[in-house]
Amino acid sequence: MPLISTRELTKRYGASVIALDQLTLDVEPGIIGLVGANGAGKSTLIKVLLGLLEPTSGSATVLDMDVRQQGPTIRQFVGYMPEHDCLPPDMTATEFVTHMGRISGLPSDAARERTAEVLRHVGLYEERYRQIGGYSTGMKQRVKLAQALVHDPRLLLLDEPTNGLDPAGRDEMLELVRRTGTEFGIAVIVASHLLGEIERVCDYLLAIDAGRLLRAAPLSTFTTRTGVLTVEVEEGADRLAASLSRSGLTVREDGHLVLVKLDDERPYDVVRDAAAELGLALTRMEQRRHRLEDLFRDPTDDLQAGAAHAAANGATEALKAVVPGDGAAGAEP
Amino acid sequence: MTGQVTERTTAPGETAAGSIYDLGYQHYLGRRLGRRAAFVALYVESLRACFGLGRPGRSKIVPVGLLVIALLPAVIAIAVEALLGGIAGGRVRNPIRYDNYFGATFQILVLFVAAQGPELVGRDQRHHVLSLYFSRALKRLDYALAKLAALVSALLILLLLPQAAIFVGKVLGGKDVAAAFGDNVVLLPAIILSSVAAAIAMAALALALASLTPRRAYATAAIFAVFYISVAAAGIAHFAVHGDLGRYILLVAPTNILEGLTAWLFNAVPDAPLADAAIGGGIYALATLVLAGSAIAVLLRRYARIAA
Repeated sequence: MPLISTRELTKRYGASVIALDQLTLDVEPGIIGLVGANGAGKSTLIKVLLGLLEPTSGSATVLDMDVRQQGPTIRQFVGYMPEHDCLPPDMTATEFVTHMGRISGLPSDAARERTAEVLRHVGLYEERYRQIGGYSTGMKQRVKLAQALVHDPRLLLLDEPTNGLDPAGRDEMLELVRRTGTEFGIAVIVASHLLGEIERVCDYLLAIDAGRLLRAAPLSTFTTRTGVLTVEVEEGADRLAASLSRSGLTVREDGHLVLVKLDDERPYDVVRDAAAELGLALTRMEQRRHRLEDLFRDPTDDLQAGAAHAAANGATEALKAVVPGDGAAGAEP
Repeated sequence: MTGQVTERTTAPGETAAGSIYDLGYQHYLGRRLGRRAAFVALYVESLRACFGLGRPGRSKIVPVGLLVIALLPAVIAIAVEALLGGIAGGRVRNPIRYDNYFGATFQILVLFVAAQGPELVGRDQRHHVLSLYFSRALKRLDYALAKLAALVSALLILLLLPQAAIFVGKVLGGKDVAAAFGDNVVLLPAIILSSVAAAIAMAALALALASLTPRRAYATAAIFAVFYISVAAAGIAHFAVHGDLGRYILLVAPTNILEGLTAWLFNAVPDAPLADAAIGGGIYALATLVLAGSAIAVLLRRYARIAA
């Protein structure tokens, strides 16, 4: 059973703004990163899945239930942590989370028990009897997570969960998210524009841009450890490429650059030796990993970025030879 | 679902710093009660909030104070009834009766809805809590209706509790308890009907206005304006304009509608200027329906569209 499934899902605001543009995707349970720049449609997608927003056209199911028809039922099994502040300052965390548990359909006793449990889980102890208005940003984020977990959802939708947190708070929140997904077996969708965070906790990635699906694939295919070695020489890139090729390396020449397939440490030495042998001025030698940023880089950027972009997209035939396995990671749906 | 259910690894007492998050997690296997239970939970919480229960002490001052003040006339009425009944042999008429009780408590009701209406609906908008409600087992209309039901119930408490006190006072204060009971019990339908009508109309109007803005001050001012300025404006227009229009123009004020309806239900004559206007009881009833209906429509429409 797919966790989430959408077919040509479209959401327009007014006549001109298209937040989701015929989005079709299938997502299996796991910790899923939903990445995209601000305004890419991440929050809109989450809100449509929750039934907070009515889609303009197309369809979507969550846990095999239709978002248009079965909103309240779906929402009994889904937890949502919004991006913005959403807590009343004049209640204690315990009162508020208990109340939210009951609004999610839990009986009173269960709501109280689970509130104590999730507040402990997110790391709020004595503070839970204090009014939320006096909390720090980090504590408020924990309460927001707790209210999303209180009814033991099967799917947790987190919209920018580390918003406003300091580095330590960020780490703790990401660790909580990771544990929620791995140890508690709750499927998590984390929307973020911070790719570094997504890299740390997610095992699957949905990249959207301008309301369209850019890519959907396991995270490992985005950030392969086996990367590409970028070699920059002042001149004679063609001669270097030819030499490296003769030495048995898979290479591609790209202007000043020579891109070398990097499986192990050997190419470093081969390149050094070849450059010395040919008397070339070696300016730079750098191991490239596929970076998530490359997903969103404009292909008309400088050559180097363009090459990396192509690598991440698996779109350039020439690079497929350099980076095997990348082509297989194309957008699935 | 592939997750394992881990056993609790730390006893409640031993929350060492090193094991802050290492407490295990239990899945909830019990029943999920769904939308109806969510509605009831929101209604109960909102009704409690009307009187500041579950909120800090300062939130209780206004609503509880108003409840006490609402009860005062009733207590006075009982005392006056007892005293005058004894001294003048019942020939002096008690100034506080069921039919003008609405007039006596009206100011208190307006203060109550002006203070608590914005609290009920504005607070969730101000702090963006709506997205949490709407992402739960509720529908948007459930939210609006639960809030409305809560404020209606709160107003009914304010209206019926004192009248129940008057009722008890009149019955027990009479020389012949059985006869006094008989005299008063026939008024029960009018008491209940007028209170329910006033509670629904006032709550709907106040919430409709309050739901339009997250700002408490604006909402309170708007509620005061609608209840007070409309009466003054209608009164002035009534004297300025002649003929039927001059009579019916009094109905632009919600207060006049509810006072007229109450008087009609008790078969009594309303105070001036409503007495001069001699508007039929059916008109008052119709005006009440239109007032409450349109206010509820505005409220529901607002929540059908509000961003969350």
